[in-house]
Amino acid sequence: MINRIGPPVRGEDFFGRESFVDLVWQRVRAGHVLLAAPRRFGKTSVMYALIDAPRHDFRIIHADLEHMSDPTELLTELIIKLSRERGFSLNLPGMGEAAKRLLERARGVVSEVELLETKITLREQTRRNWKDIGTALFAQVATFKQPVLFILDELPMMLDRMAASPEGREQAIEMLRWLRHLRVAPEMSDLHFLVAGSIGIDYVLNDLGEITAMNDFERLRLEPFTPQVAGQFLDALGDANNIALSPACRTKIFQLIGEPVPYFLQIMFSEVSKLHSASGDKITPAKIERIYHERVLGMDCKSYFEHYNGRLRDYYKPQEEKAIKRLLRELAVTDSLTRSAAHAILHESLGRTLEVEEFNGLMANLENDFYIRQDATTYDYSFACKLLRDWWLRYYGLAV
Amino acid sequence: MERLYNPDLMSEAEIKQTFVARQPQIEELVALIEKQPQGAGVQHAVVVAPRGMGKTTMLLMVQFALKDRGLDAQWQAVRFPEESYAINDLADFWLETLRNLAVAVETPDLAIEAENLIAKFPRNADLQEAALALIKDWCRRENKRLLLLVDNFDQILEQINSERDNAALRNALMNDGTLQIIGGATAFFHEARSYDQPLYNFFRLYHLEELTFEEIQNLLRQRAAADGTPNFEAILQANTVRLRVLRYFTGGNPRLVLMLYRVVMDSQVVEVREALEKLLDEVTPYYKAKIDSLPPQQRKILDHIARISSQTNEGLTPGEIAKATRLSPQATSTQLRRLGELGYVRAANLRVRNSYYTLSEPLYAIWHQMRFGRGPRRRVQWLVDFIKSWYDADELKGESQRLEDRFRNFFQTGATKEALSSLQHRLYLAHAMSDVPVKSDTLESVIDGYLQLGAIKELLDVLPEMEMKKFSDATLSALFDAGCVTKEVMQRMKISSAEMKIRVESAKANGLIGLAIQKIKDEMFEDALQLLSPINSWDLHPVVLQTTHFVRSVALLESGFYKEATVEAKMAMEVETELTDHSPMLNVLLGSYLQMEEFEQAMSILDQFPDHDQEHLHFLKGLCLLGLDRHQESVLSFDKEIIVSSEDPFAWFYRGLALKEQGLIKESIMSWQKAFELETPEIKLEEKWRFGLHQGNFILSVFNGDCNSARTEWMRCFRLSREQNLIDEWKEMASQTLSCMIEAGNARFIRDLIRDTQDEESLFPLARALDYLFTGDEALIEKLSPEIRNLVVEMVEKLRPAVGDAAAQPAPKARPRPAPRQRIHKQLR
Repeated sequence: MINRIGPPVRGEDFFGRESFVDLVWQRVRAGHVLLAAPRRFGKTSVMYALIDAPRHDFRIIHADLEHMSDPTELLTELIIKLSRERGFSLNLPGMGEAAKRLLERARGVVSEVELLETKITLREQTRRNWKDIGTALFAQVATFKQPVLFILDELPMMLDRMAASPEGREQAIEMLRWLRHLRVAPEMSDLHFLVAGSIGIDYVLNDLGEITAMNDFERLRLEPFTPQVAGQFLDALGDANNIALSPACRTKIFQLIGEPVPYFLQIMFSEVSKLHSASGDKITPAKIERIYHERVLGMDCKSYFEHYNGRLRDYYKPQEEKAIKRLLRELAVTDSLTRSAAHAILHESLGRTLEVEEFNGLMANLENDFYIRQDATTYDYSFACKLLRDWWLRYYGLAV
Repeated sequence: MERLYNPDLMSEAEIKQTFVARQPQIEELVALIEKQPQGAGVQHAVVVAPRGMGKTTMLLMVQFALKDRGLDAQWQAVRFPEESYAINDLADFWLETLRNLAVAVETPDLAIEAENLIAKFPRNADLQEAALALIKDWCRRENKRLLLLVDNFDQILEQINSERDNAALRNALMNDGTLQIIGGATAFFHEARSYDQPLYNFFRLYHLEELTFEEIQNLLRQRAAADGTPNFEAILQANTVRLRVLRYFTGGNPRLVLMLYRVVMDSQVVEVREALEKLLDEVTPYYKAKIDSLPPQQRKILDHIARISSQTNEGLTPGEIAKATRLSPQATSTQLRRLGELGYVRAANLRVRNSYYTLSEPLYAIWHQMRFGRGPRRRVQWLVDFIKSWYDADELKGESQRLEDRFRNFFQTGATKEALSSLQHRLYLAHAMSDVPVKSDTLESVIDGYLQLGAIKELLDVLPEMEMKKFSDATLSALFDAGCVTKEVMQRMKISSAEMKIRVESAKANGLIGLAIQKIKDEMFEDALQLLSPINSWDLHPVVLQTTHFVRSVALLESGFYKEATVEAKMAMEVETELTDHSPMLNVLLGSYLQMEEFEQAMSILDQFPDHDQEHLHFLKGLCLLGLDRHQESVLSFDKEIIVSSEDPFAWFYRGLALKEQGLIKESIMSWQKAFELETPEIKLEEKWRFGLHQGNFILSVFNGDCNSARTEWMRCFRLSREQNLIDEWKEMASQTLSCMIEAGNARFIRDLIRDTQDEESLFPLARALDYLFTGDEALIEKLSPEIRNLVVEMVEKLRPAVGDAAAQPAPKARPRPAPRQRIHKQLR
């Protein structure tokens, strides 16, 4: 097992999410799934777990949409991938004979350059009537009598990119409506979609005025590890890297980072591992504490958590952003706040009336995005994770 | 042969032989390659370090390891040159990959194929995909994957400068197992650092640390072995101190270590100067490139640190830098952080708030001084500094003697120019000496040499840098005879009788000041003031005069004469001395104003302190703001204090007060509870401060329907009022709070409480009014004296609406109707 920080993990490196994958398969069979989790919680790894071991006779078509900016690109990618699937023979009537030849070629070619040529031609041919061709494509896939799961990674990113221009915005709305129309058609019941993205889909849909465009998706939230799985995870990392972590060290790690988010555990372990390989010294709780304060919370690791601060700017209006940052600062300083204190802070920082509904909405968004959590008994708010609180305190503790 | 700037021109054997300190990282990188999954999910890596730290060598070592460990059957290494200026978009990057691959596998046709793509795919986006497709085709054909070793990867991404291209690069790197990148970068670059970039947190980073002392020794050992230097271990042993100096000056940068070591190891002063100048000249392109790559604000900050630290050898705080560069504190902090990330500066004491920034490489400070130093002395100050570090006192004396002999030889043989050069070098040595008598003797000997040579013009150039008043009368007369100083100057060097008087009286004053300080320490402030009183009429050196005023101000402050203390402190500040830091006097002013509750004045004093100069600055600001009724700002100030001193019970207590003033009762109680939890035997809060805590808890308990807790807190308040003699506070609080509680519907409960305290006397009008309302017995009012009766009647009218309901209730409600929050808060005040 290798401690991979950044890219998706696969095979033996994929750890502790087996029951979540079971759940995804269960829900995918019933409909469509929206994978929700903050950045670096392991969404893409879960997708690859589905791709690497399909179940229930599913065929899987995967596309990473981050670099795409129009529906034709997406459609071409899907056509090419489908046409290369064994046993799938596509015949798209809207495109005529030339397209048929192209698709046969795509199926037969071995050279990537030739395949690209085909793709470019196909892209040009689908540009004029992408919706008709797309509809025909999905209709035909639906006749194959085999369930197909389309995994669309970073769809929110693609939509966000499109929304940057007026034409792109129109096209994004058109694409969302078209996809929804396809999904709800009874004859498409064998086609399933799984969507995920590192930026919040709700914010993007809201911005496009299409908040209901994906309400047929079931949201599955990727949570932190349970303490038991987190312990096993650290053991496995330790074994694979020849670093013995005593129970006291493990306890110290959990004390320091709080909620055992796998990504945070990986960062912590990575820093421990660096020290170990540089000095060969035995790892002790005291050393772990030092690593935490000097490395994990230090400049070297600052960027790992920077998106927690940065994305507030993207998702909220300037005054809201300021108010939320003030609230987070107070939370970081005082550890917890009552509901009324939180309301008072937001109200004062916003400089306007803050209705209870709006307050609840803001707090729910922050909770959903893993900034804060609410105590089930006292209803007080605190940071979702101790590490984040410490990080916030260090870098934004003094900002007002 | 050693290649400091182009390690790839060295032989493989030599690179391996001289490679030190980075082996663990190489092992990790190789393990990473070995364990990559077959398809998607490849872990890419970037080695981040300033120039000269060994990134290129590391990439070369990875390339060698690929072959040595038999990984080259599955992986083909493709190394990019250090400069890839031709890459301006992702298509260029893939085409360059193909060209480098063609060279690596000696297949020129592949390069031709790559060139053909340019004509075939005129659209940039298509060309980019085509070039990548060709790479994949090659890999499939050869059944190999590519390991791209990309030096200056940050520079390449900066040249590409396209989010869209970066997204496509991410797609290729993440969803396809064909390629792995191991890059080198001089800094943690924007594309991987900024959360909104496609490559954000995408790479695993390896930071190369500066070499430790042991690692420097190993580097030199291995270099010497490669050069075939005999007896090197003995040389190392003999030069341990110098090696430490070497580490200091180079910041543990391997390239600089090798450069500087070669220059200075065997040189003597004359040669050292020439060799160092040559070295500094050689490193000019290196430093110039480093500085040119920075944005203007960072350049300005770096320039300032270099300039100041080369003079003082000390770090600078962000506040000092901001002030000197006229940048905002926020901009300064941001740019300093960035410079830190880039490896230009380093901060000490990062975990506390007072960070001191210094240059990562002292050699850069030397270079800066040589290149930009103002005046001839400044420009050679670097040499003086270096000599100071490099030679110990005995060596300095030995070198001085050697140079004197050398001067005599040249002088006697008529070699004037060489003799003069020896004198100049000896002068640098003299400046580097710390032993004052030896230094003065050497300087006088040097002056004598100049005079013997008749080099008056040259002597006049260097004379201003010397402290002539320390010269002997003979030397001063010789200088006068040679026309180097005027008679006035010579005379000025002699102590005048007036100066003598000042000296004598200042010395006497110093003695009295010392005694007065001792009295202050013994808390005998009157005696201290008495001791200082005769000094008033004396002529004093400005520093002594300033100290007198200051010590007097302290004694006055401690004696409770606050106004007088401010006058003395201000007088101390008005005395012109070299002392620019007025913090001690400001502290006296601050203390006096706080005692006089002149919070506006105290705030203005606090604003004069830089953040780091005043311990508990935020606490004091919080107090002032509290006094000025600026409660929200006050809470923020206490919060800031708590970040720095989270265990300070006073900060927590006053924070609670400020919260209470805002009506945030629950939060204020939490703050007070924390304050009392943090008490230690050494740091204790005043017992009477618990009064507010119990009062707040009492009110909250009543509103939560928790009768037991309410009763307990009530009794605590009562007891505390008796123990601490807070009778008036008790009466006022009890009367107002209880009225309010009654109006909120808790009359019976409150009446019981008054009875429980057995203190009906203090709350008699309230108790009697309640009794009357409960029973309707007119006699209870009629028999009172007229004064008391009026009070009771007034209270009856006030409470009647609430008690009318409450009287029907036998006991307090489980959850009484809360009174308007604002009202309760008002009562609490």
